[in-house]
Amino acid sequence: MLASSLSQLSFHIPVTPQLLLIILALLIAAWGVYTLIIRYHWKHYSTRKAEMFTMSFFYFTGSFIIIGFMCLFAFLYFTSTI
Amino acid sequence: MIEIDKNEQILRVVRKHWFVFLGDLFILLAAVLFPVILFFALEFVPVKALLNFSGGVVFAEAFFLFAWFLIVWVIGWTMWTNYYLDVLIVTDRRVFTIEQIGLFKRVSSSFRIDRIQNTTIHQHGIIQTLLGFGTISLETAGEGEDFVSAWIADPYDLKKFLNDLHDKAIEKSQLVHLSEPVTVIRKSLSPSIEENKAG
Repeated sequence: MLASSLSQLSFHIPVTPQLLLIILALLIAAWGVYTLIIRYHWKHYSTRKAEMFTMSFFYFTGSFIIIGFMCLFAFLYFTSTI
Repeated sequence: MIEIDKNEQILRVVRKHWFVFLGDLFILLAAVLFPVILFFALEFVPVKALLNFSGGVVFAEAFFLFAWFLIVWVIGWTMWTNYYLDVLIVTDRRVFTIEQIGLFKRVSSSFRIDRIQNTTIHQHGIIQTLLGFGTISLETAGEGEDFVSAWIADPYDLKKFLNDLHDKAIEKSQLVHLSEPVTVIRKSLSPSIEENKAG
């Protein structure tokens, strides 16, 4: 019942590849700003250099994996529209 | 930047017990599992009827899933940084208590070890007692507030360490005070000694 009433609405959000790219760009920009802030904290307030290096390694590895998957699925979505 | 002098040596860095971070981990776990709950909830609330996909739905869903994971990842590192930078540093001269609240609020205070007058440890409840963590309060000379550091790991060991350092600092300062009058007396007596020698 709810599904049918929702489908009857004339309001639709078009999920286009452009929308995905905009979201991806915004998230990467926000991630970049956040990385600058968090790296500043580690650099200035950390007591041991080795710990900072380990944290940076895990942070960047995880971030690149997640962003990589986002880019991959955005690309696959784009190719599926063609 | 931690305001430690170049010739000051860090002797111990004490953080909060890992149990404190466990609460944050549960929040993160719930956030990671949120899309699964959402997936089942969408069966009852068909939001997809409002969305108009121009490509493969699975790819779009996977994209949004990883976008959510990126947000959770960033929140997780903020939690870790708050935990990691909340620290108590003991140097050979002073004790620093640093409290990181979020990313843009930081409270840092320090006091000399020889100013410590009383060290108190509070442990409440079965978890704190069994896992060995608690709150340490350091009372210093003067009318200032006590320095309180909560959920510190192994507080009794820290108390013993601080007491030993405090004793050494007091002994050192007493030796300095004792050596001063001797030199003053020697200086004051030296003219009369010379007069006696001449006489």
